[in-house]
Amino acid sequence: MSPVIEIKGVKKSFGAVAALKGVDLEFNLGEVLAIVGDNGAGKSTLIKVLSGVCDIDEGRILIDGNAASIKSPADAKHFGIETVYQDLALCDNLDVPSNVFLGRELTKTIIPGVFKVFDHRSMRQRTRKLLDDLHIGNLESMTSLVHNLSGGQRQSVAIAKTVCFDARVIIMDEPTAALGVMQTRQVLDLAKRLSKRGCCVIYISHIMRDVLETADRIAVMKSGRVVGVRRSAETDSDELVFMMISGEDRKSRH
Amino acid sequence: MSVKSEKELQKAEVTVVEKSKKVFVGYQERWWRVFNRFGPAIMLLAVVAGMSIAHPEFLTVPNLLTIGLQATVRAILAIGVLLVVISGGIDLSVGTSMSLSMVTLGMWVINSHGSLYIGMLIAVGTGILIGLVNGTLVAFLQLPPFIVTLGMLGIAQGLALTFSNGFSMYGFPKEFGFVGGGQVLGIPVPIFILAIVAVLASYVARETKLGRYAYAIGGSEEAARRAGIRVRGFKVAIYGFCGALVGIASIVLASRINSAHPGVGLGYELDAIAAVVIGGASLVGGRGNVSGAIIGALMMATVRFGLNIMAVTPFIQQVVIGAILIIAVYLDRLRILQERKLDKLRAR
Repeated sequence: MSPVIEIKGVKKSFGAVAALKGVDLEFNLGEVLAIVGDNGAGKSTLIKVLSGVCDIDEGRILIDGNAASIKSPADAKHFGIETVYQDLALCDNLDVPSNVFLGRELTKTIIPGVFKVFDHRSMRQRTRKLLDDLHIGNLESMTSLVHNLSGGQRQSVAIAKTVCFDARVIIMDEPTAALGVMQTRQVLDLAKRLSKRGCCVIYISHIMRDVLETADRIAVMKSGRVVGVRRSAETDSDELVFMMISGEDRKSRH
Repeated sequence: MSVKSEKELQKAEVTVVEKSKKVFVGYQERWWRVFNRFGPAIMLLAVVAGMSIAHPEFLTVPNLLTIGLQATVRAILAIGVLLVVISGGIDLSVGTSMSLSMVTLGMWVINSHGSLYIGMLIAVGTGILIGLVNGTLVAFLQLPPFIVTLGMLGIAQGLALTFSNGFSMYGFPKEFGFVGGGQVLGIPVPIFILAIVAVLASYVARETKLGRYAYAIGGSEEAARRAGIRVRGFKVAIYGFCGALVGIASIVLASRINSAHPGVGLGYELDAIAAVVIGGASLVGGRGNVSGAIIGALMMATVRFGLNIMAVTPFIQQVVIGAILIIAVYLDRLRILQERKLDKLRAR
């Protein structure tokens, strides 16, 4: 199967600081690809490039084999790339369906051309179905404000918001940074389920144990380069940490 | 197997902790919800009760009707300010832009002998124009709404005085009196106008993108932006909507006082903002509703009427109104602190 996104020789500098010094990476549908690396390794910049927050200086991005440019978050959404931001980006004062459908509300027409209202019921039903599909059934009430939800539930809503609209590539940036044990588990399971449904999940994390357990492949970054890519079944946290810190790939040397 | 039992153990532990938390939080929260929902209405009843005790002749049907009538202009203004406040902004210029709208109405109808209906459109247009300028400055130049609309308070006042040469304008056609003084089925026309405005504004707030995005922007502007909402455009529209209601309020007031007065609007912004906050809107944005704003406006009108029949001088009345505004904002502050406290209890 050909990769859904392929990046080749991508470079990005912020002034004198080279954040990405030529990154090659392939992303496939149906897999969880984790990106690990120390602070400043270039993970966040790579994510920003893919989600359209910043443009690249050099290199090529291929989507479905065709050259593509992702210049804005709207472009990224157009290509089916959705991002779950670290700070979730939810409106606390709105209820769950309103957040999930924010910016793309469903409406129904009462008097054609004049009088439209929000289709609250369809939005509720579709949200419910979406959360059920994702096995996030632990919301007591659809109409409760996001403000009143727990960290894990909020995370679920943030993810549901991205999945709702034909996302093929879902980027999760440190999704469990603020979560407890149980909630982390839920998010990890969710990432796996999404990949089984045919999405490509790009999972950024510091936590080796989570990464090894969830990801199909793991890309290790250091100083703006991809040090190496491993199948999670064929590696362990010692090797990953060695790669993260030394920036060397033992395997590629022999 | 052992992994699974460990998992279940964790789960059991978490639920026990959460349950004990829920009982405590639930108790506080229930009172809180009741207060949040009915607080404004309870306060209004308390004020009415207080006035009736202080002044036994206060509670009569004609008096209440007068209060309702006096509240209409304030309520229409408050509904306009409401959407702005929900979106996290504020509009201090509603009072003086109402004066300006009234003056443009007077210029067209009285000075130029133009059609009354076109005059009303001009008044509403003036309000919308001022709102759009406010919104553009706030959204595109990223200026603080407080400063922009404070500046606009001065600008609109100055323009109103300039256009009218500082004099009141008299001589509206007789039929114009119907807007402010007429009755339909025994109910004063201004109350009908308020009802229409209220229904329309509720529809906008609940069922249109304009209203929904006002709540979203007030809740988290960043989240709204990332969801692909054109935040700046909607901000301009929100201030414009407020301006339209300012124009409508100016028509009602002009008809009620049967003249156009360039200085009459100053001070109405205090009532409107106080009404919105008393009605449950938060100055940090994201919350508030139309019925609350109307209740708040009724309360301000009740207080003013009560002070009048108790022969409190207009000078002292200003002191009282100012104090009420400050107290209302303090209550809003308390509300925010209380929510944070509940959040902490709820945090896991």
